[in-house]
Amino acid sequence: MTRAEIHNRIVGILVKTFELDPADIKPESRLFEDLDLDSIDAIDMFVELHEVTGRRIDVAVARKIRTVDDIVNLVEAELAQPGASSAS
Amino acid sequence: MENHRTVDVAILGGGLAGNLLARQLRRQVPGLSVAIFERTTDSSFKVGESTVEIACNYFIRRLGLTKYLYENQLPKNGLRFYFDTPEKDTDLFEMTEIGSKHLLRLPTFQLDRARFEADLLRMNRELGVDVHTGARAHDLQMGGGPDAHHEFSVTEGDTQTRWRCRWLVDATGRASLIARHLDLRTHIPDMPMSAVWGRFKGYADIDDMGPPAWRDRIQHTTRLLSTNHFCYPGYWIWFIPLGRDVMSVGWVGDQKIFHDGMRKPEGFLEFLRGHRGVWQFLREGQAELLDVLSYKHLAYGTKRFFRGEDRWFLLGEAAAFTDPFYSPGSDFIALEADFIGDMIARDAAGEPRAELADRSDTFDAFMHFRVAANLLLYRDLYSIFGSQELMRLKWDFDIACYYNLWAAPYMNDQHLDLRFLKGELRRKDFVLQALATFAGFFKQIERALHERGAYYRGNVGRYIGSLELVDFMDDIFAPRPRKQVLRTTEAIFNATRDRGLALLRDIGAPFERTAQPLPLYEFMLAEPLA
Repeated sequence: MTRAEIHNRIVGILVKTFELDPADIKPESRLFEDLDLDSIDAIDMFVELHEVTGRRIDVAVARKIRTVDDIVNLVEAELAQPGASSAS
Repeated sequence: MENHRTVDVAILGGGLAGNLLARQLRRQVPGLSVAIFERTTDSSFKVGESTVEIACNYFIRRLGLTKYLYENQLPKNGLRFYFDTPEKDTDLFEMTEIGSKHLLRLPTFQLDRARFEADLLRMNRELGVDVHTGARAHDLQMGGGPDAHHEFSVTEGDTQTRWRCRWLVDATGRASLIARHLDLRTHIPDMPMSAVWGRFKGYADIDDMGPPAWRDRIQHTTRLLSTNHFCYPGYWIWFIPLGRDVMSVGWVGDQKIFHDGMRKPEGFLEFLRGHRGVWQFLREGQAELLDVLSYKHLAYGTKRFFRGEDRWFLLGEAAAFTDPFYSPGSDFIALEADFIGDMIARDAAGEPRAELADRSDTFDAFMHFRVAANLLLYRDLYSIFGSQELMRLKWDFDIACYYNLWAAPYMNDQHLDLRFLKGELRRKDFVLQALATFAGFFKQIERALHERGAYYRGNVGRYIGSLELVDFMDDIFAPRPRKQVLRTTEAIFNATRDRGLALLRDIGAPFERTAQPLPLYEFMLAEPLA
């Protein structure tokens, strides 16, 4: 997946899982402050990301995520690892 | 000459599991014929007498057994725990006790298995089930693919019959015919538990003994109807009343403590005699031991519980067994029987094979999840059972998780909703990691208690009558949004961690992490909580 494809995929997940308006989701959008997600939503986000990458997300790394772009970076890095899949 | 007969559903094994499913199928799919094949002719003493909320919800709601149960078996009054000193010589009335002062909200029962199974068999006959006792099934030939049929031979006395069925259910317990035929049985590592149990007559009425203050603290209910647990490091001893002056008493513990002598009546009595409180309950040895049975190795698993599309199913102990501490056996039967009934009913109604396979895969994966989660309650944790302060923490945590994560969805029939199950399975790894993280937390506290000589410090003279973490019961009587379930989970996790940290602080044990509440995902890391 290209970076743009990853971004679109993440936007799709956020829209589907948390019923957000796609127009509100920008690369720089902060998940908690701007998109109003919370610590419980984070679990669902990790489950979704696991399915995108085929790898168990390292939650310790995911802890540092603040923005939509941070998620894109994480997925990009995970997909570059051996054993990752870009399953759709 | 061999006779030939056919039946729609053949259930091998006429014990608890097989009889419950037969009754369910007669009610759920009355158009299908059902036959039970039971090897023995008499119902015998079996363990698994104590039932918990999921199983009893199934008995009452799915099987219509309310009238039977209240008229013929004993209502149960929850779990009750007693703790002792290393010398095991604490007077029963001085032992620290954990247990409710009132009857619990959700119905549960203590079952005399021999009577229950004989009664179910009779009731099933009346419902039109073709019941064969003294019937040994063998020479199994399993079909597969579309329109699968199975065949097996049954020897009854001098007669041999070749049976053909569309759906085959194995409820034969540990002997499991299908598990052996398909090589399904798996070893569960790190669960080295054995059990010995017996029936006693003439035990003490625990509600009619002891000093006034001890009686008075339970004056609104009964201790006798509880499953009374005597807890020690590495093992526990149960007392389960079966009615008609019979009490089941059993020991479950690490194989390092178990020895073959305990399997004999005199060895079992000698072992029990070494525990003062236990012995008082047995009227200082005046109670009469009727019989003793044992299992050297309790836990095992299965590669597969069912293949709905191929029309075979394992039920109860034919599939798997974990540990009896929280009596999960009949809960597993309830879940599996609901899954099996659903698959058979849909198959009979013409559901396409691919859809049945998807359903079966999902049910099977959920059973594996349920077993894996259950194992994490016990694995490497028997060593903490002897410390009241730590066991109280674990018990509060375990019962809260049980109601929140397992009982509530069952009682609202969410377990029959594939979408719900698939959602649960997607979060499976997170739940299992959280349970493993808490197991590690309890072990960390145990080490600290031992290092400071505090392991036994709360074991004498205390009484704890309430559950600390179950404040959400009013919410579980209707399906809850997933987010609400997760919020409750987060609250249970944080409250348990808070109390664990308070215990560490109280004994002067250092811990490294913040004492602030954690977001839910922090519990799902493979990192220590303290």
